[in-house]
Amino acid sequence: MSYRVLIVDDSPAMRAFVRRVMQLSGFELSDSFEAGDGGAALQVLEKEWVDLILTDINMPGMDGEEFLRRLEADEMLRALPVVVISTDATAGRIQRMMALGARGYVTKPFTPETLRTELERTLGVPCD
Amino acid sequence: MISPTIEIALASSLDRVLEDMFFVSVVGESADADSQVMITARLDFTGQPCGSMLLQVTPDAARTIAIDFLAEDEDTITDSQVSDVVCELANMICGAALSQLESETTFSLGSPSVLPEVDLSDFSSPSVRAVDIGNGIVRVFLQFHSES
Repeated sequence: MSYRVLIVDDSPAMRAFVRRVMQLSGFELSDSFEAGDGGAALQVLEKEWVDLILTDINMPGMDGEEFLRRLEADEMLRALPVVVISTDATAGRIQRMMALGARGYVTKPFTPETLRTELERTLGVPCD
Repeated sequence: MISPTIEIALASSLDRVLEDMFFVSVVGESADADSQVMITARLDFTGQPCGSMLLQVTPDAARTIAIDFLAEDEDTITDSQVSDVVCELANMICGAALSQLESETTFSLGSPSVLPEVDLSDFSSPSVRAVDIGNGIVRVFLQFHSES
């Protein structure tokens, strides 16, 4: 199965890295979209349907917490699985993001295997 | 006085980020970082704790790290991409170190940026870690500020 994925991070380098690691992990991407913050991501979602969202937390503009709140407030978008990718590994932050609707959480640094495992768990299927 | 806990967190975070995310092995600690020209990125953080971090990387090492991280060709990688990767490296090291130190509290990382000149005026008593990665040096300064 191939997936349409939206990667939200203010760092172009990190967006490119995540996309590459997903592909190297055997995660087939039919399309990938990118956004530099939550606001830009919502604009992408007005035009494109995706199967999975990967988002950072700390971003200029709309941050990851507000982005999750906006997704949860939308009847259609709240169904989308969201995995947070962040350097913040504190228990309080992880609990808050999961309470806001995130289905998965990966802390940086991560190995390709860690990302793959979390994506498979979130989607409920093997990725290849 | 510098807490040994901070030193340990900084050292393990730097080494783990370099190895897991940037595929770079640390050869050992570096003692001659002061004599090197370095690309410098700064990152401020707020919350509990608040403070600042400086990351310095020698140019050749920064270029190699960026090429590996982005899977770019040596001929096509740009200075902007190198700067972006150095900033991401700073972001990851800082977040990983703070998460080790403060697992129950919340902090917020600002956006890292590359500095045109090194300014250590905010780093009066930093924790410092400098490592040799084979073709260059990576050095980190971590300074906590008292809450205002």
